[in-house]
Amino acid sequence: MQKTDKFKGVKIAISLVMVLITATTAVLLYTDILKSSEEADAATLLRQGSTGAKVREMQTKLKRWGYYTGNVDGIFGSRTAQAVRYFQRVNKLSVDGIVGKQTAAALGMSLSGGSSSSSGDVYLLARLVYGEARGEPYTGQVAIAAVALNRVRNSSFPNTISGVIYQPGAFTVVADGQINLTPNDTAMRAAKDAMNGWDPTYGCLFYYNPRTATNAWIRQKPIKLTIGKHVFCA
Amino acid sequence: MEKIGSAKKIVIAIGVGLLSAIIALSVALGVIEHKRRSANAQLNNLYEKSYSETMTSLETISTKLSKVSVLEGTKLRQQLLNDVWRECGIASSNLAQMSEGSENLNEAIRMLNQIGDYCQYLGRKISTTQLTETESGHLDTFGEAVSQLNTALAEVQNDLIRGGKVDSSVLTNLSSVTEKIGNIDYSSIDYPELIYDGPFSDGLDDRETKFLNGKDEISVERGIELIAQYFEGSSDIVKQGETKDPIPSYIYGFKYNDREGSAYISKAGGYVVQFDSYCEVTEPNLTDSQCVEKAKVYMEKLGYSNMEPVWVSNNNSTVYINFAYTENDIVYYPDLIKIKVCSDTGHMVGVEAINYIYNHVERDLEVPKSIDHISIPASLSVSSKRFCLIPTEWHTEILCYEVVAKKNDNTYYIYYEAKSGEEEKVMLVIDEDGQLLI
Repeated sequence: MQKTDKFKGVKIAISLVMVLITATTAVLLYTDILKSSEEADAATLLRQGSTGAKVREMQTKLKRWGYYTGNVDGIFGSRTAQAVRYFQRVNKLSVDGIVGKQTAAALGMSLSGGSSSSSGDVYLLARLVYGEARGEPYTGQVAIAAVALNRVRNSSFPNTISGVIYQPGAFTVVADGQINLTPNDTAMRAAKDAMNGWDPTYGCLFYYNPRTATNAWIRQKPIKLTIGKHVFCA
Repeated sequence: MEKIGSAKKIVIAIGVGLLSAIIALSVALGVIEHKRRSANAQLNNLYEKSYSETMTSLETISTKLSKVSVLEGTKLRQQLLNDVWRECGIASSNLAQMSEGSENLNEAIRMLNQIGDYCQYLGRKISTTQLTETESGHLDTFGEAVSQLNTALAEVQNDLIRGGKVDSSVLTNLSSVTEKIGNIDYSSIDYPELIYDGPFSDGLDDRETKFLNGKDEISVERGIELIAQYFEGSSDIVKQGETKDPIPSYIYGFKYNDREGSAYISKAGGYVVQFDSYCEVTEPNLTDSQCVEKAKVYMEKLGYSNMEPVWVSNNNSTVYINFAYTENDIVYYPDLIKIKVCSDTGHMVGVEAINYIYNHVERDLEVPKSIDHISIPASLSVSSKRFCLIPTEWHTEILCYEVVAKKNDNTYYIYYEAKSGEEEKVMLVIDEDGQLLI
């Protein structure tokens, strides 16, 4: 009896070690080797309210096949949505009136690509905004994009949007990979506004969250204004 | 005996299990280490590439600057100065890839950008006037500064090769040289003020807000009244903050059309400098022109008069409209205000008047009596022509003759300098989809 008990203790100990090693291996494999990073999905959705060339292309197809009778005007209104739902029903797709990857494939069109370089910049800016300031008030999100654009125009920083965003050490979300998250509509709108000239920071080049910032250098800069959680400096 | 036998089996089983677990762990660690190494190597390769591209650009800049110093004509010098500008851009963006917030390298980036910008300016200038002695002197100084930077970076490269440290992080090794770059006395380069009111401006804060000159300062309370007046139906107006420069303003937060928004009101005169919100349009039912009509009404309400729409673009059913001040059929593009309108409710969700506030002022323009000296290519089918004032990168203004024309389905905006008839600027409408030319 004593012997078996002794064995039991050793067995449990060794099993625990095994479980521990297996778990460590699994965690390592999961986090590093098998890590499927949340890659940004460049494809965008077309839904009611969308406008542009892709909407036009979709309307043309729907009209040619008799699903749509309205004007090909590049504006995704309620009649277009009806046509999309009709198309989805006939083609046994999930009927939601939104053109995602599958519906687009059934329509024989691609949602990504064909975008000009400027819209690529908007998308990159939106990713920065989403990473740095999701949950901030709208003006605060526009402000982040505006700071990046102010840097592009300033001589101390690179002269392109991607140069500024990917400058080593410039933005924490680039360092920790959050820049690769897919931005939401609000972040896209904020980026677009900043590209169109809105600058709630009045030309600021830096910002930080006074609660979490540890960089002493940036804390010495005079604060120009506060928007949401961030303070902005020239 | 039996017990011991089964115990042995158990021990063997546990041993095998333990062994395979350890093997799995070491394999995993091995793979991770391998991946880490190859990622590191790739990163180092990128640094190396940035590094050598910087070196090549710096050499090109030095060479071209010294070539400029022995020339007197226009064409070749212009070409060389433009090349310098382009190479400075390449060098600075490559340096930025290696900078990691290093102050010394940032100084070098700034220097390269400023040199490039200045050379671009001189390149434009020599088409009409000769360089002054000071300007030529600046070019010499630039040449020296660039070769110093070049030497400093070359020494690091030598260190790297000699020490066989090429595999280790270039970044850490660079720090030894950033000190040297820091020793270059940039302040000795006297950048002309005129230029540095430009796009790479460090003196943006000093820009004059021409429109607000002589306007009376308003109180915080008056600002609240004005918000209620400008944004009809707004509620819960609170002052969120204020800014001193470049445009002294009060910032108010308020509820408007069921959404939180914030607006910047200039302390002088109480004008809306900026307001921004957004809308999620699912039932677009207003056409772009209907939105323009709505925007015109908002514009009047905000106290900006004589504004004509010059550009409309529809972005997912939010319509952006650019207005420019117009007087006697002359469009003043520097005095620009942008309005955002939702194409379902017709609500205004954005105002951006910074340019107007900086630039708008009574101007006295001399418009040429005839346009005979302006030759428009016969291959273009012209849809509209008019005089206009356009802003330059250096915040100056040029009176131009604007021709909107089509060729091969592309729409172009061509600007001829009003007096000389020289082509000043050309713009191509990239994607006309959702954009309306007015």
